[in-house]
Amino acid sequence: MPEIKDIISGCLKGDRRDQELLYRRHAAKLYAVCLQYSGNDEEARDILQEGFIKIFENLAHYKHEGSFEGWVRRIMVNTALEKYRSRHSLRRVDDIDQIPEPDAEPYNEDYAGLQAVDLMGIIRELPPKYRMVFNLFAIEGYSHREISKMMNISEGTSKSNLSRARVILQRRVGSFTGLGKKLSHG
Amino acid sequence: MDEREANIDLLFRKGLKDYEVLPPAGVWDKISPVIRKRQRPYVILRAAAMIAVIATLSFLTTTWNSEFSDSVISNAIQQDPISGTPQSEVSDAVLLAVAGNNDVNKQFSAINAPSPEIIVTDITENNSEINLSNPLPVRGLPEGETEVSHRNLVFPVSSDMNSMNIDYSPVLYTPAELTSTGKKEKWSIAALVSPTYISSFNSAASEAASQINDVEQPVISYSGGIALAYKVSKRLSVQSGLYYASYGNELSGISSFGGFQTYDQVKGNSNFQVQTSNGTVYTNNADVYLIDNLSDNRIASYFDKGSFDPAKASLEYLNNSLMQNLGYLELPVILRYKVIDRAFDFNIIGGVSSNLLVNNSVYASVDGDRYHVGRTEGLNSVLFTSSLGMGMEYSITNNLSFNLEPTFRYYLNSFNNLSGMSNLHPYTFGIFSGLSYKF
Repeated sequence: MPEIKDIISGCLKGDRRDQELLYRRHAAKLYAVCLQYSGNDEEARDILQEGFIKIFENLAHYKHEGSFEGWVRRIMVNTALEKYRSRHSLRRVDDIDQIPEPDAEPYNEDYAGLQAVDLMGIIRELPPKYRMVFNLFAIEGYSHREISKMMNISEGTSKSNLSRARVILQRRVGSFTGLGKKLSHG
Repeated sequence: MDEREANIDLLFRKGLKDYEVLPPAGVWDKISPVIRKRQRPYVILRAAAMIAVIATLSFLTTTWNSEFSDSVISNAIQQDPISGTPQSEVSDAVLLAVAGNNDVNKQFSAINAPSPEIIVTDITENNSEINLSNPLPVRGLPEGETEVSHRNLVFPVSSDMNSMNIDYSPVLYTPAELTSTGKKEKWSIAALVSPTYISSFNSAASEAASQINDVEQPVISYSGGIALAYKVSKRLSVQSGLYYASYGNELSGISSFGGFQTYDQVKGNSNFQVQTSNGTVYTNNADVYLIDNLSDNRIASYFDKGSFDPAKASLEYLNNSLMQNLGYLELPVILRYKVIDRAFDFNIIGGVSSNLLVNNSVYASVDGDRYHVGRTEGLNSVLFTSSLGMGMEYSITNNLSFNLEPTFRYYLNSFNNLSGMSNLHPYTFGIFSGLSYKF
């Protein structure tokens, strides 16, 4: 199997086979990311398409530091963010009633019964602004400060969105598994 | 709670970590043409450069081989085949006739013959000489004369040359033609244009410059103008002229929005300043709002990101990158040295130029239209460049030539003197093509 650096080198020289190989190697994982950030399949397909075009356009800037997979994932997430900004009007939620914070608890193996496809279905049902903040915070590991800059919202809004997202997710996971009470209150 | 690991967060993070979904068929078919189209200018430029280099090397090799061959033949012609002594009576016209005709680039030599005229006859077996009968029209003779006379011309030949057809008519020249360079055209004027690739060397490996360069991409630019050359000697020319060069730089990751004017509370000032490798861009269009998606330190603004939301204000999204355009009037002083002087000339070109900044704009591209954003401040108004190139010149007529000139230019000073950026020395590569007229 060709090394990723050889595939990148081929792509930079305009080799079509290497370009397609790079796409085939990463498309499935990145499409899952696109689905995770989008509310419908059409939007996910658009993000995947635009994201891959950016990946190829910026391939010369990849410095072979850190994983290539992480690099392409960041581009795809940024593309999803741009798409979100262009399609959704941001509304401040600072004035939303404070959402009760769920208590922290250790990870419970009971939740492992949920399949990835179930989790994907649940997360995609979130309202776009909650889904975006939850993904950026919980999955990608960005801080509220970073999210506030990326989404052009205040840190307070980011926190509120996250809280609301968690409440909704816990409720849905609970109804899915019957562990709702345990998830919410430990 | 937010900053700690929440149970629900872990559930989704672990559950989706290695999740994969095959994308719908046909997505790659939509991506592939786009990236090929966008890569095409660079591929074409690279291919053109390669073709130019290969063509030049091939041409040089062929020409030098030909010159070497001609030299050997000329020497042979001037030797007596028996005694090896030089033949003083061989005419220049004949020498060129032989040297210029590949059909007879074999084992010819010339000896004296009693015939006062050039006469061509059929070559018969055992002939030791070729008599040239049927006097032939000769180019370059004074009006009224149609043949070369009083020339001693006899070729000793071997028997295996019987079937050789010799046609001297296109290659006969008089001695006058041998030494003449034709009319004494001293001047030439040319119109040349080239697509140009621009990039830069970072002479001090400035980290700030590197970081900014990472989020900027040069776009294919162009250069073109009129060149006037004066022939100092047979091979050396001095060239000047007036060129216009336009350079583009794409500032990636800066989203622009239109319709901000109604929210602009700092009227009369520049609302946003964007640091670029070429200088600081100051917006002078109060209707534009900018957001940097890639870093925190490129844009300085009165407007806090948290205090204004372009989406909430329903501003019009323009583009995700800005285009920085700089235009220069170029006044070159170039020396051209003709290495090969044939129907296809080859020149080495080198010189210096002064470049005056005449166009400075930054815009967002919206469906092919330009939405003005501002201008770049801190630019040096005059830049100096050195250039080196090779010029290939093909004569279409006596006075008209087609020129192809791959040229590399290095900027002796940077676009600006900003701290951390003054070590960036741009360079350009272009393949100029056009027509020149001698007079």
